[in-house]
Formats: sequence, C-alpha cells, structure tokens
Amino acid sequence: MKKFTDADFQTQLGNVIAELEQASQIEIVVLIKQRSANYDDVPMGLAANLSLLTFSILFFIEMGIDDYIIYFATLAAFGLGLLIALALPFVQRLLVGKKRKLRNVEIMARALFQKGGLHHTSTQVGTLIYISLLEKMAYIVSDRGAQMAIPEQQWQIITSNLNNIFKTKNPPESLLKELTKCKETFKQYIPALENNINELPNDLRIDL
Amino acid sequence: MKKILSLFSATVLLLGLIVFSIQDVQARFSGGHSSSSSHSSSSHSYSGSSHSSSWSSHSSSYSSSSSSTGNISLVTFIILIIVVLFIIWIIYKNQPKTMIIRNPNNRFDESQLTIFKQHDANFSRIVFLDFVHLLYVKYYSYYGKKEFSYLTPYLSDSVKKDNMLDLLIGKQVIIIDEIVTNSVRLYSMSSTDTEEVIGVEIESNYSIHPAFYTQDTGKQHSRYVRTERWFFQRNKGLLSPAPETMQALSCPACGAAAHFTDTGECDSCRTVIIKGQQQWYVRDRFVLDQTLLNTGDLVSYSEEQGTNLPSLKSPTLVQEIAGFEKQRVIVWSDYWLTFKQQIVENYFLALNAAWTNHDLTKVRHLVSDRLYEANSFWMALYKQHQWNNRLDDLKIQDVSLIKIELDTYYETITVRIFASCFDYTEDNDHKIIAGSNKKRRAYTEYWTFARRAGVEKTENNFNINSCPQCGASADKMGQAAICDYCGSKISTGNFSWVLFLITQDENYLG
Repeated sequence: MKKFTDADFQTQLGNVIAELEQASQIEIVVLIKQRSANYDDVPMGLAANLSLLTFSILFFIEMGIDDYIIYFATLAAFGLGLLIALALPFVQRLLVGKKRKLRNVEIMARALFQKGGLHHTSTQVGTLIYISLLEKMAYIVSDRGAQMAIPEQQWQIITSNLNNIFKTKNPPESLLKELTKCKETFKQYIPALENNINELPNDLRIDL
Repeated sequence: MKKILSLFSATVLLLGLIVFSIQDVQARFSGGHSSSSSHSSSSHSYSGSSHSSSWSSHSSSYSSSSSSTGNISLVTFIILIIVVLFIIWIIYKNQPKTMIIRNPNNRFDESQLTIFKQHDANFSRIVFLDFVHLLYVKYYSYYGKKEFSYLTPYLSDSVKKDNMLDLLIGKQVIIIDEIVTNSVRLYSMSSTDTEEVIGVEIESNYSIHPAFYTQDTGKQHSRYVRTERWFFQRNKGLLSPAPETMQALSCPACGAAAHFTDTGECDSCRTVIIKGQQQWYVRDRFVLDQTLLNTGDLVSYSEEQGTNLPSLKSPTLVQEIAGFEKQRVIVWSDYWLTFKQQIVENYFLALNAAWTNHDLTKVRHLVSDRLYEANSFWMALYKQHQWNNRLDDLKIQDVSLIKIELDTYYETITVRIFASCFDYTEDNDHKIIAGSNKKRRAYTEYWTFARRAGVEKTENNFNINSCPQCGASADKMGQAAICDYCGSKISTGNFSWVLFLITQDENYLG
C-alpha cells in the first residue's frame, strides 16, 4: 500500500496536478498534513477518566485490596490511558468530536491558504485541497474566482469524494483517482486559456 | 472547555490520591499503637472478611486515633480543590475570546457631508446613493457585453479591467444575474485641491450560473453575498446634476441616453467625455467580503443583538428640527405627532402585514424601488423553500426621532421603531420551523423616510391606500410603482413619503 510520504506518490501527485492545471485555468495546490491540531487534552482526559474508573472500581468492589494497590493501580491506569492515547492515533480520532475535528481542519486549511499566498493569483482561481491524516478529513479552500466559477453543488461533491478516500483500503491511490476525476469538472466549468500561466508552484510547502 | 475539564478531573484525582495516601500514611504514623490496630484490620481483611468491615475497622482506627489528622486532610483537600478551581478560572479568564469591536470611526462623519454641501448645494445623499446603485447593477449586468462601453465615462481604466471578471464573464464561464443590493451607504468623503472623492459601501447578493447552459448545468446556481467599497471621484467645484440626470446614466454633455464608444465618445453629440469633468466616476472598487448565501440562515433565529443599544441620534438633531420647522413653516411637536401616527406607524403596520401575507403589491407605492426589489427577493426566497415568515400581533412600543436631513431635492426623516411580535417561520403545513408563536420577540429598526422637497400635501390628508397624486385606489401600481390611473411614478417620493431604507439596529451607524 502506498503512503502519502512515498516519493513515488509525491511524483504521481505532482503529475496529476499538472494535468489538472493544463486542462483548466484553476490553480491547484494539494497539501497533506499529519494532523491539524495537537489534541493534548485527549490523552490527559482519557488517562484521568481511566484512572478514575480504576479508582472507583477498586474503591467499591467487595474485595479486600491493599491501599497501596489502589494507589498504584490508579496511577498505572493513568499512565496506561496516557500511553494508549499518545501511541494510537485512532484513539484520539475516536475521542475527539467530529465538530471539533472539522473546525480544526478548516482553521488549518484557511491558515495554509493564507500563508501560502494562494489568493495572489491574478484571476483569483487559487484552490487549496487540504488533507489532514489524523482527522481523516479533506477540506477545500478556493479563491473568489474559482468559487464563483464552479457551482457550490460541485464543490460539495468533490469534497465528499475526497473525504471518502479514507474509507478505501489505499487512501493515497484513491486521492490520485479522485483528483483525476476532478479534471473533467474543472475543465467544464473553468476551461484553460490559451496562455495559461501556472502562477503557483505545484509542490508548495507551507509550515505554520 | 473540554480541555480544562479533563485537566481539572486529572488534577483533582491526583490531589485526591495524594491526600488519600497522606491520610493513610498519617493514620499509620499517628502512633505505633494505632499502626498495629490498622495493620490488624488489614490482615483481617486479607483473611477473608468483607470489604465493608475492613473499611469500617479502618475508619474506626481513624476516629479512635487520628480524627484531628483526618479533619486536617479534609480541609487540605478542599483547599487544594479551591486552589485548582482558582487556577482554572485564571486560565479560562485569559483564554482568547472572539470580540466584535465596533469602531466608532466606522460611523460616517456627518460633518464631512455638511462641509461638502457648502460648496455643492445640489448634493443629495438619496440621489447620489441611487446613482451608485444604478451604476453597480449595470456594472455587473453589462460586464463582458457590448453594453459595457455605455459605462465608459463612469469607470476608471483600472475598474474597467478586472482579471477575474475577464476570465469568468469575459470568457463566458459564468453569468451573473438577479443582483439585489441590500444596502448602500456613504463611507467617507474627502477632497484635495483638484478632486473630490466619496467612498461608498455596498452590500449585495447575486446569482451565478455556469455560462454554458444545458438542462443539468442550467439548474445549478449559487447565490453569493458580497460587500464592496467603491470610491467615486470628480473634479472639484462641480455642482451635482438634478435627480433626473443622476438616475438615468445619460451623457453628461447632451443628456442623451448613455451610448458611448470604448473611448468614451457620446454617440449622440460626439463629445468625448473626460472622466470626472462633469460627473462622478468610479475610481476604485474593492471587494471586502464574499460568502455563499446560506438559505438555512433564513430560519436560524438568533437572539436580537442591538435591541438594547442606545439610539444613535444625530448630534445636531436640535438644529435639524429647527431647520425643518423653518423650511416647512410648522410647529415640530404638532408635526411629529401627525408624522408618527400617519406615516411611521401606518407604514410600519401596513408593510409588515404585507410581508406576512406575501403580497407587497398593495404597499408598492410606499417603498422605494431598491427596497422593494430587496424585499421581493427575500420574499421569493422564502416562497421558493415553501416557508412563510410571519410577524403576528405586531405592536409598536415606541418611535423616536433619530435624524432629519434636508437638501435641495429631498427631505428625509430617520426614526427608530421599537416593536414586538410573534416572529416565526412555518412551512406550508403550518409547522413551525423557526421562531415562536408563543414567545414575543422585541426588536428595533431604523427606518428612513424620504420625500421630494417642496411637497405640500399634509400628512393628515394622506391615505396609505390611495395614490398620493390622484387619490385613486392604490391597487394598480405594478412592479414599477406607476399609478395606472394617473400614470405617475409614486416610489420616488415626488408626491408623498416613501420608505427609503430599513437598517437593523446593530448595523445602524448613523
């Protein structure tokens, strides 16, 4: 299975973007990040709740348990909860509410769009496709021109399809497929001009 | 908040454990004699006694040997919780919060207008804003079309050329239509030795369709809300033209209908119009904001925001009243009472009843063209979704005077209306989808009425159901507000007051 970090995948992604931009006037930048926020409170919350649960069970169970066992078992439960949440990303994903994940992904996407200067294209057609791996979410931020050229329903379909790549066995491969599928939509709604100038680098790297 | 709660539960738990363990150790340390007792209880429990007995023996050891130490531990525990809560409160207090700060400078400085009128006595805010509205709608309607050249004398070269619009409209990617301006207001007025500049803020919404029409794609359209700032410029020392000239986009030289070449030459008189020499032209335009219009917002009822804000009365209201008294030769207190009852209250009740009944035709003659257009759009949007916004049992609590503005062509009176009603939205099956028909909603709005200067008809003789010009029933006004009986256009304020503007209290800036 391909990984998002594979050099091979990166090359293929670059090629797909180039194809999209050749067929359409749109300027696409795809950014993939491990996560959109540090959910520091999640391990802490899980650890606290796990230790509270352990403490309560040991406290109320009708069995003679040494006080030191209660004390250390509670501490151990705290450590275990911390470890589980830190080591297993899917636990964090499960514990963080969908609304919060979506908000963080949106904030990160908009910040990257801004910092990457994607709003500086002359025809205002810069579009960021942002993929956040921990949250398993995709978010699209498009500039005014692209936003106006492509109907909202189409944007929703594209976003939904991109979100669905995480339900497949091979998300990187599915991402490439979905991006390729966008080609027809982009070409239809915002066709390329004769002197189509690529105003944004395809392999843009932005750190916040 | 979740983060703080998790932190709190973790901290309290740890503190609890610490206190618990300290307490336990202290109980054991409180004397060798108690240690053996405690130990025996433990060993007793190991030997198979019930847990409760183990604890009871445990507590008895506390009570017998270290009750004072236990109390101290409890107090320590409570103090620690208080300390933790205090720390959390400090952290929460310092959390960044989203605050909307209304910059007082955003309020248009009316003194600028007063100064401006000193050297252009013909300037009328109403006429100018109508001119802006006209130009704005034509700009987007004509962009990319042959007719766009008709606007040449009114647009600077930079405004005429927009890369984004060139791509989208010029290359026939999209079509913009159904342009509705929600508000147009003066933003700034400034001048140099040679030029005068007026900034205007325009809020509008419009539909965008893909230009290539097919059965499928033709149905796809998105509606956007947009805020723009346009800056108009003209040479210094000019007098504003009469309203008829301003409202028609005609040739400033000969007055013929605007037919210009790309170079700005009038088709009729062959004069090459130099921008700003006789009339205002758009020097710059900036898009401040553009968002997708979410129809869900129509049925989202948030708390009224500006109801309790103080009324933004004009700082020169006393002088304005005196000026009005002088111009109309009236006693203000008498006039205000009549105006309030005959115009403000009657218009308010009639217009809201028309809104609730989805029929603006009966009140068409009471509102300006722009306001009618905007309200018709919103009403159509409700209808499209088969929703009905009702304002039942509407009651006016108070009406207060805010501003009076007089100029050569128009007189305007702005009032703040305090009202309440059962405001709710229901679907076609009368199922309430937003708001409430049981809880009254109090709100306030700023309404601006305008009338052509010099209209002699008194408010006492005015009937809102009749044409103010011929007195016939106002049942045949049509969309354009032209009386079918006498052929007069009523919505210009030439014959009586028309409602020119409605501003929500939280948005009113004076």
